[in-house]
Amino acid sequence: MKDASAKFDIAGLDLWYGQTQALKKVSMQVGANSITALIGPSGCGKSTFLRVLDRMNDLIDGVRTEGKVLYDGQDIFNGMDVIELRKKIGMVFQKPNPFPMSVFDNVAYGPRVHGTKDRRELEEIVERSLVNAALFDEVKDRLHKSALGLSGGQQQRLCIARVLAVEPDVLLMDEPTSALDPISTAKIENLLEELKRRYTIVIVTHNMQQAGRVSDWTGFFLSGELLEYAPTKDIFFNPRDPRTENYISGRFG
Amino acid sequence: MHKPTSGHASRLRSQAIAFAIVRGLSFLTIGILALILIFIVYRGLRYENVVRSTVLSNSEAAPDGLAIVVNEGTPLDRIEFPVLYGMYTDEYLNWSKITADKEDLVPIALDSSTADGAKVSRFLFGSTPQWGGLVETAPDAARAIERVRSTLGAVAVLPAEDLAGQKGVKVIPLRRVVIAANSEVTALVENRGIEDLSDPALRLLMAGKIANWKELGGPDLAVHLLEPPAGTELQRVLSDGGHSVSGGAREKDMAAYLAALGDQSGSVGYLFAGDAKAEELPTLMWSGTESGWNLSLSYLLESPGLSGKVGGISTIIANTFLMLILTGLMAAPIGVAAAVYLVEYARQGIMIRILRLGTETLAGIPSIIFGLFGFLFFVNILHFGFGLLSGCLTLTLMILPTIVRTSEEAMKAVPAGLREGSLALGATKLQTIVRVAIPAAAPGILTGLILGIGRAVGETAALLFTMGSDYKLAKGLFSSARVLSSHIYLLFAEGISFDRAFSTATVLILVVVAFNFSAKRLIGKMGGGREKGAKTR
Amino acid sequence: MKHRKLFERTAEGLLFACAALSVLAVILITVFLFQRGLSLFQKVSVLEFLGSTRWEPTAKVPGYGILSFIVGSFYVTGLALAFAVPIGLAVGIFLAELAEKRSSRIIHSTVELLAGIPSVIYGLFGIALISTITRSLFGGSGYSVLSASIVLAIMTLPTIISVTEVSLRAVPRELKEGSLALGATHWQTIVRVLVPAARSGIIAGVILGMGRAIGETMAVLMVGGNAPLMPKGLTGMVRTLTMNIITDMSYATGDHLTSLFATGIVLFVFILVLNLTVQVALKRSMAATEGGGGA
Repeated sequence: MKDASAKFDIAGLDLWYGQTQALKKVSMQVGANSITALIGPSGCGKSTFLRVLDRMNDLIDGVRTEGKVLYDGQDIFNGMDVIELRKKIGMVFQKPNPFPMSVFDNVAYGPRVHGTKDRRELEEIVERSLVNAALFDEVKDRLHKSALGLSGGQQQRLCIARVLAVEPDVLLMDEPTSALDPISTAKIENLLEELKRRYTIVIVTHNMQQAGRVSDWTGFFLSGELLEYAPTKDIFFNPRDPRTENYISGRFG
Repeated sequence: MHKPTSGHASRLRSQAIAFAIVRGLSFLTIGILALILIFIVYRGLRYENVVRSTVLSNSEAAPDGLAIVVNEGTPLDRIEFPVLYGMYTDEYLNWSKITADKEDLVPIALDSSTADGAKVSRFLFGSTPQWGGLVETAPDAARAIERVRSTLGAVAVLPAEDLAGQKGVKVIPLRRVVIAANSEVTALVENRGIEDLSDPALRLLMAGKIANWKELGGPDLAVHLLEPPAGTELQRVLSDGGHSVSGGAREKDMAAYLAALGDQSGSVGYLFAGDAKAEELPTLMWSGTESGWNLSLSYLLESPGLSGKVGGISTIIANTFLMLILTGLMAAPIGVAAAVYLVEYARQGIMIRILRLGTETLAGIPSIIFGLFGFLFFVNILHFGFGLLSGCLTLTLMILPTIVRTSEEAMKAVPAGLREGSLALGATKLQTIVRVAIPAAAPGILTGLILGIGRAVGETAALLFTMGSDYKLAKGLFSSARVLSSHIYLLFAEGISFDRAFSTATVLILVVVAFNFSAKRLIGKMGGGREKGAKTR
Repeated sequence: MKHRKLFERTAEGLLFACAALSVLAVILITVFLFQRGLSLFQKVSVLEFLGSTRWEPTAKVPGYGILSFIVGSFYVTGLALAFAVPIGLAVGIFLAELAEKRSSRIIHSTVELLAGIPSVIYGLFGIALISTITRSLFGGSGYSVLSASIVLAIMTLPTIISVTEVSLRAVPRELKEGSLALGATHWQTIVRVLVPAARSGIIAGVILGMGRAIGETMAVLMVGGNAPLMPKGLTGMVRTLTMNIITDMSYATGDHLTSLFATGIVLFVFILVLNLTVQVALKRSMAATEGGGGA
């Protein structure tokens, strides 16, 4: 994966919450149009790492980072506008977080804040995004009703549609299916396969099968360190580090 | 590749503007509060009044070795010459027009045949004494002082040296400089004449900057300004009071000065009131603002008189604290008991919903409705009458919700482990509550009590028609009592004194701030305690 | 043992009595107020009482119309809210989203103090400063609708500020992150997501403030002018329901006194309606934020 076309090039990333170091010298490259899964036990730093990529950690007091994160060759901490960055890099959270407004307004929210006012254009964007998020058929009759009335799985796909509506380049997903039932999870996993063609996806998951099923590359985090980063089948069938093997087999067994 | 779009810059600009507005409005609220506090406290401490008088302010001086002496209990801290003159010429029969006291006036003079007596007579009347019928004659200064000491309404003019070290009496300064003018100045000619001088006009006049009286609305007459002769008592008193005269004519002595004022047309100059009277010179009224200290220690310590027009607010402060103690004694046990029931006994369900709804509704009822209810129920139906008890019962109902809610929160915050520990040792539920839960929640309960009482101390509308408005010290539960807040309102509403309303308001604000501050300290302590508890666990 | 149980039982009964006192008080207040006030309507029709502007209780043919005072109450309260809501919202937003620790502490203390200042002192401040300013700016006596609403606005600010702040803080963090992650600016997030999500709570706060303002007596009494007429314009004098009660209480007797209790009933009903609205709004706001958390 050491090539210039990498979406993200992370080198020697350290991160502290106050006095506690949450990420230690993390280096990795994320290829374009691939799915990268990040796995590891709770509190290993994988979610923190994901939040570095679109600088969501800026919102938390006392967070300090060192090291380099290049996105398309540009340093995201230096000379890059955070709002532009977040527009390019969409994020889907663990808990579905639809805004307390209608389905339509939820999806149109991004384009609107970025200045799209034309109603016709907004309608097109909303429909396209909902179709791409495999939700349109389920909600087309209730576009103007509150999004809070949708089921959990529908809400999560709505959140994906909301991200797609701003036409991002990268999708970051923080355990997007952990709060969902198996059927909804399957729908979202299928969706990921579709989305992979057009987007670079980084997904944090607790679910080993999910990582094995959907991802091309997998990174294993332990206590803030990136222990192993390799093509998914190598990680699962031929791990180099015994701790990786323990974790994966422990999970499987 | 990642160039910000053009809309992006404008979005950031509008964000910056919005944040600036929000920040500005936030600091505006701080500004408003600071304004209110500073304004009230300033007005409470200082007064600034428009006064209109024949005698100048800042012209207090003992007259040629004499002093005016009154009983120590007389609420008078200076006197003006025309008033003093009136006292000795039967113009006043009692003090009501002077200090608003009902005391009889007893003017005392030394026997005119003595040297000192003659001096006093000359000082008051010049060459023709006009003693009033009320004036008592004392054979000597010692006897006069004794009489003043024993009589509240007495006043005497005595040689200053006899008064040194005397107790029970007080010497008050005399204001006695007037603006004397030639009679042509005040005479009405073609409807133009001068009676009044405003402070700025007086200043210009005395600085020699006014050439003709018509500039001040007077007759068309050249101003002939006279400077007081050098080395005289008059000149000394004037320069002490900051009333300088410049650019005028100088006469060589008092006699020439007086002659010039009487004969020279358009002439004007400062003069002692006694001299003006003796020479029958017309005087001009002076009007200006006067400022000074308003809230003094004596205001806090003296008891009020005449609906608060005179005296201080000591009994009102005492009544306020009586009210707070009584209200606290009634509201605290009931409030805490209610909170205990809600937290420890009541089961979730319709009952607790009703109890909560009752508390919420009670909290929302405006104080005037409490006032109506208190008037109807406590004052009339239960026949408690206007008094401390009716007022405090009304207040208790008013502040109950605050105490219940805060105590409830505090009880809920007590860790369940504490209660379980006590129960496990075989204590009954009640014992556990009294010995473990309530002590653990004490700071929170106390905070609620302070907040509730802080609300009670400022209450007015509910008290006016339940507690009454007697400003004497309350003698019992059924005695009508005036407190700080109702005193402020009544001072204003009865048109008694704005300055006094402000001084009382300053005291009330200090009380409220003290309550607020102590509640905050307690909340701070509670937070600290909780954190420590969490760490040890 | 039996003794102890009895004792515990009695104690529980006593505690219950204390807890029930609030309910009892509300019932007593309601019953006595209505019982004393309603008898007015044997002599005056409800329609005349509420719909007439003739308030001449001591005339030969007495008139008991309180329409002007109802209008006055709402006029003053509405105007006060028009001043207080934008400022209160801004300060609430500032406290919840923008303030650093130090300025947040200062503003919190300020707001608490504002809430603690007795209304009679607001009144005094109103006469001495606000009336003087409005008189010199807009003419009239200075004792006016405008002065009264400015004073009331200052008095309702603390309620609106704290409820706005609390409601904004109760909005789940995920919503804010979701909006920021889409590239919205902080301000866009506040206006388009946070404030709408906190809407019910904020509305409850405004209604709560409205209740306080309608029930406020002393401050408006001192600056409102108290003329028993329909308020005319911003600089005209005004008498509210509360002012009507307290002004005439000192000398009223007979039917006149009864009419004051009837005025109290009208005020009481307004307040109860507002309080119930608040309860409903708060329940809805709780439901909304829970739903927003996304389950």
